[in-house]
Amino acid sequence: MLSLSEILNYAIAFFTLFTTFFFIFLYIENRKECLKKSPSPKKYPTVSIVMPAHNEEKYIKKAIESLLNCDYPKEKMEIIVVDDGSTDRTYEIATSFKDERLKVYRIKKGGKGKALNYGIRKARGEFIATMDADSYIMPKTLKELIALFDEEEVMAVTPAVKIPPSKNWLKEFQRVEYMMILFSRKLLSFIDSVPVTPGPFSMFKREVFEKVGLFDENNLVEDQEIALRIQSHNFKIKSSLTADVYTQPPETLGALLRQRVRWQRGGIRNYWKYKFMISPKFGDFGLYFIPLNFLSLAAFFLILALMIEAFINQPYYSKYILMEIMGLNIGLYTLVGAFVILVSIYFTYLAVKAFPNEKVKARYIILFIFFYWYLMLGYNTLFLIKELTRGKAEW
Amino acid sequence: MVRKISWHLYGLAFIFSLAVFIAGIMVGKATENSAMEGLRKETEEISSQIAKVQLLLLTDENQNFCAFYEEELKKVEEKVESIGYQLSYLEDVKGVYDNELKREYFAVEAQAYFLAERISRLCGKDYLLVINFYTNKNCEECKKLGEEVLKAREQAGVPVKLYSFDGEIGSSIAEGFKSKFNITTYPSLVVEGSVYEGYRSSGEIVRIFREEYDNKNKS
Repeated sequence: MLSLSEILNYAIAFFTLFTTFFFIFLYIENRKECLKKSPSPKKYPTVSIVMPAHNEEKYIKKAIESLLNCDYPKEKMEIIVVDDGSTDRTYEIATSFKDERLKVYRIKKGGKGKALNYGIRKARGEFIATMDADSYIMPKTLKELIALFDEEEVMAVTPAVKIPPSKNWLKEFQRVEYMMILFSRKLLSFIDSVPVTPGPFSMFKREVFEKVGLFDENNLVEDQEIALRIQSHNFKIKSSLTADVYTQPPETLGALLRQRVRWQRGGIRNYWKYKFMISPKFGDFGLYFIPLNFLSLAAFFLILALMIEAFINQPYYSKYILMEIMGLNIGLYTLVGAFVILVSIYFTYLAVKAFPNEKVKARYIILFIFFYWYLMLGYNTLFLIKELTRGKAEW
Repeated sequence: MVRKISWHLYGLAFIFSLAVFIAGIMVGKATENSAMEGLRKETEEISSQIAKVQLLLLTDENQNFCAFYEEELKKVEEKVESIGYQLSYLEDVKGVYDNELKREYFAVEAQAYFLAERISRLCGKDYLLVINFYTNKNCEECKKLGEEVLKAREQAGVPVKLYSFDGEIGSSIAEGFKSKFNITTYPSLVVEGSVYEGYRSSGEIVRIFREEYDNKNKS
């Protein structure tokens, strides 16, 4: 007769294997499509880029310059900067550019969602891109994204949001992580399950805002919420691995943890909000992807609890036979663990290889593979504490 | 957009997961079996190692060989303890039981006990001989006492040689020891022939060890 902890251990092992194999086969099926370059756009529709900015004096110049220098017909572009009550020189810097494409508005501080919606209401383009003021794009980015709106049902397109090279180990770690996120998102796009239109840069068909509404102004991760809403209307979100956008990541461990706790809290709340999509009616997104998010989180905490339980109930004499115990424990869990680690290493390799122009040192790839779980442990634990203590939501 | 369900991917993922899952369970079982086989082999080896020393002791019981005897005894006890812990780990954590192997192990433990007793007498050694009688049948106190004894051995600051016997698996050796010390309840601790019944904390056991050690040295 199996005990409860044995049943849970077996269930987690099987779930982990299933998820790993699912992504392996998803990759195998789409590996050729994965790295395909975007075609050139057949036409150049009008595009409005909405850039909310709050105290971004350090980065906004580069952000605006990257837009002004991009390879897209000038008369088809409109840049809308919405200064969200900055107290630094953001507004002065934005207004210092003399270009008819650029319009700068100043509003009372109301948060990113509000500033985005203000800009979208002012926008006149057939397509609307949203962009963070601490990000910048490459000259070909707009063209590549526009080219992906090649089907009627495509309502949003996400670019390859990356982190510029740096000497800061934490930033380099995040560079690898972002590549993994991009690679996974690309795979998810093959089962119509892109769950986010990233804040640093995303492009939408204007009509999507008329059909699903504007950004949720009170959401912790409004860029995810709008993507889920688009999915709930059965519209398509495509993902590019070649339309480059660079953004600034958190520079300290504390800032990174705060960001991830916010993502996790907002993310889970959003999935809960859209739990009605857990149904075959919403294809793979409803049948697999949304449940996967809840199950992964539950599995994470279960593994943690089982590890703590095993540690607490470890017999006292175990410390005399540590080496022997390793041998005695070779079995299902070691096999699953080794398999998952090997697949993670291979997928990280594929992700890094997908971006040949991004040079990453091997030590940061190794750091990512082994440090990522500790980061997850950190932010998931903080997430749980914050949720249980009903901690204040922080942007 | 018309939503699709990738049944073929779920099917493939399920089949491959099941295959690895079953392989993992089989590897686990094979590991356990091979561990048991390894322990059985080691037990046999130690048994013959002890027999060699005993034979030497019988042939020429001479204090000149004490250094050799002690060296051999140390090696034997390290191995016996390690096998004991591994057997307990397989039982307590992995739920793998092999009473036949346990009985063989108890026989070796008994050999080691008598060897230690004899070397102690011959070479004038002051270590304490301690036997812990336990059972795995509904005895929470036995588990706790086992842990406390190990802690006490680390804390007591006196040399202790520890032997443990499960009194309820039909081992004739364990029965012999039970009868020798008149053991009727579990857990019971025998320290240099004195019986201490029931659970005791490591602090109490440390006190017992020190008292018995002083008594032994006085006599």
